[in-house]
Amino acid sequence: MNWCKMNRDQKIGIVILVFWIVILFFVIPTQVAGRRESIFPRFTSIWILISSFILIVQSWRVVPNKISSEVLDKKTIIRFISIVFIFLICILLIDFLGFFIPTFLFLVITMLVLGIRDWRVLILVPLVLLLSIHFLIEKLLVFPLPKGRIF
Amino acid sequence: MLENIVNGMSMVLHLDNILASMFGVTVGITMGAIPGLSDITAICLLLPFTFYLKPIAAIAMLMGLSKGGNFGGSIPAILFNVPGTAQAVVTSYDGYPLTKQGKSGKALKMALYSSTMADTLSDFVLFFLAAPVATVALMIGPPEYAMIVIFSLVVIAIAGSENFVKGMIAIGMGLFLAVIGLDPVIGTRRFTFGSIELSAGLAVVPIVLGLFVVSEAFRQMELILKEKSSKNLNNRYQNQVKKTGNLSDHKVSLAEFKHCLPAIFGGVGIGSALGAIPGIGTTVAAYLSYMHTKRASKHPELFGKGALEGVAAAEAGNNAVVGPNLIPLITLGIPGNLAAALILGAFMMQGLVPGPLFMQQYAPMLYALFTVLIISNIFTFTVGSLFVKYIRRLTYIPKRILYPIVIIFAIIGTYIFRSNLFDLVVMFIFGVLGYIFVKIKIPNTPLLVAFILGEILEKKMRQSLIISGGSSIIFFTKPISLAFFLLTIFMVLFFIRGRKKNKI
Repeated sequence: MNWCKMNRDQKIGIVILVFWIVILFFVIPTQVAGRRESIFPRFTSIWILISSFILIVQSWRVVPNKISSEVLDKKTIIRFISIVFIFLICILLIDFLGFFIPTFLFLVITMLVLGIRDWRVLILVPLVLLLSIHFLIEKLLVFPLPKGRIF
Repeated sequence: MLENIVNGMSMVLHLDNILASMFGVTVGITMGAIPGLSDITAICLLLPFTFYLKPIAAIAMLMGLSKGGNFGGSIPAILFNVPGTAQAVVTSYDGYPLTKQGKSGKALKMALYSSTMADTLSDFVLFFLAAPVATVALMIGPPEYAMIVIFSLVVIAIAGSENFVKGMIAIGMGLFLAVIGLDPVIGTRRFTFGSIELSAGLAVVPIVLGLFVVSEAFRQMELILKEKSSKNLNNRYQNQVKKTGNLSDHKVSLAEFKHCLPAIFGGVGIGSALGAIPGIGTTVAAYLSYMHTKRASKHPELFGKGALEGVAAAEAGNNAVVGPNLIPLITLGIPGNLAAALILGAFMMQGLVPGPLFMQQYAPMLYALFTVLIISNIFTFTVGSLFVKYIRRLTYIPKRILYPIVIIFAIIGTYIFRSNLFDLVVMFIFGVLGYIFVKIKIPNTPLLVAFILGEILEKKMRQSLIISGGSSIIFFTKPISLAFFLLTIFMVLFFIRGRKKNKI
């Protein structure tokens, strides 16, 4: 079996199969105490194992190049990953800086990455949005948004 | 029964419920009108807020969002050939050609009339069928219930995915995610890895917002990055709407409405029949209704070139699904589609558990729900009529600004649900997972439905095993249970055979 010659569905099937074998034989015995408690997790794991095995067999006859794969250029991939990464950083920073500073930065940086160059839009949109959220959620609905440990 | 109806109506007819319904419809139409957002996005984003509302107001808002969003999706489909929702694709077949002829107002009004009329008629199907189905549902025990849930999940895997096997994998994953946290029978911890946050299990709101809102925002942002001339795209939209000074081109005459009535009634029949089956969505109903009307028409050659009946049939078909879709939800606790699954989530957040006993315990609730549906239709009609010319402007919002804002609302929605920062991490993980799943064509909807039904399925399976003393033969000795097992096998074989025939 050559990994490079396999089509995408076969690779997906193998990854899921291996992952759930690990769950069935290594994770369930350590994370679930008792036979009765492990019936349903085992049932679902076997469900997935059978399905992924069928996926591998089903896609056996499909020639690799018949499954189209979207090709993105390097620049787009880097920009896209940076947006996902900025989002993660924003979520992690909320714990320290509160809701408003990280989300303001997230909005500005994301819009910048997406191609907005007008500084009035980059500043005004996050400002108006976050002020509206502050008055609507915190003042009108009296619901406190996350406060950071630092601010 | 009359007493229940009166009680149900009196529960609904309060100012807060009416306002919740109107708010839901307005937001639903607005979000449905923005390409890339949909009724599902609207329900996902506002679901956490319903936790702070009274049960009827919460359901009124969600039903308003669903109905408003369903109509709203047809606005960009008709005006720019950019469907706001999947089901609106069929509306664009004739809606957009009508716009090119300068008759956008006529197409939009017909979409509004047919969708609200079909929706109202289909609500009566729910009204008359829910009680008899609930009576039958009372007779089923744990093994039968478990088998019905498995049958429904398999149907959803078949109907909700391009590849049935990938749908089954998604179902398995959803069921597995439902076991994280405390054991529902004994109460011991499972898959918590020592984390206190995981002991309470995964909450439905961060999963919903991650899988459907964040992943969609990621996907759209990726498209924006790929689209080099996005400025030109926005300008193109604005140039496409052709306007004529002729007033009759923007009105639906009585004769035209009468001419479209058979298409609307056909759509109601098809949509209602399909709506009662779990997993068969609005898109299939819209397509079948459109094809039926085209076949029955004296001028099928006009379809696809601006036939008003085509718009009426598509909108009637997809809106007629909404009411009957609640039959399996209310009587069995099984959601028929994603919108119903989200509404089930809202029911559960309010401490209401739809299922066989729901009609006995909360009989007036059904009639309250029915009243809410009718009120939502009235608001869809009035809000749609009044604001349709203004709402179309929403389609001009640049996506580069829209999707970062959508992510901010997903953060707020997740946090508001239970003020837990851990949920934000869960939302992020499911956002990335949802995006990857879309790329590798593993459907997200069966995963969510399985996650919601996972706990009840486990409970029923465990109860059945306790009754039988640990023997799984109990699932095959009860007639209803056996019937649903055979039906599940039959469905799978029928589907595989159909696929093989299509390939040949």
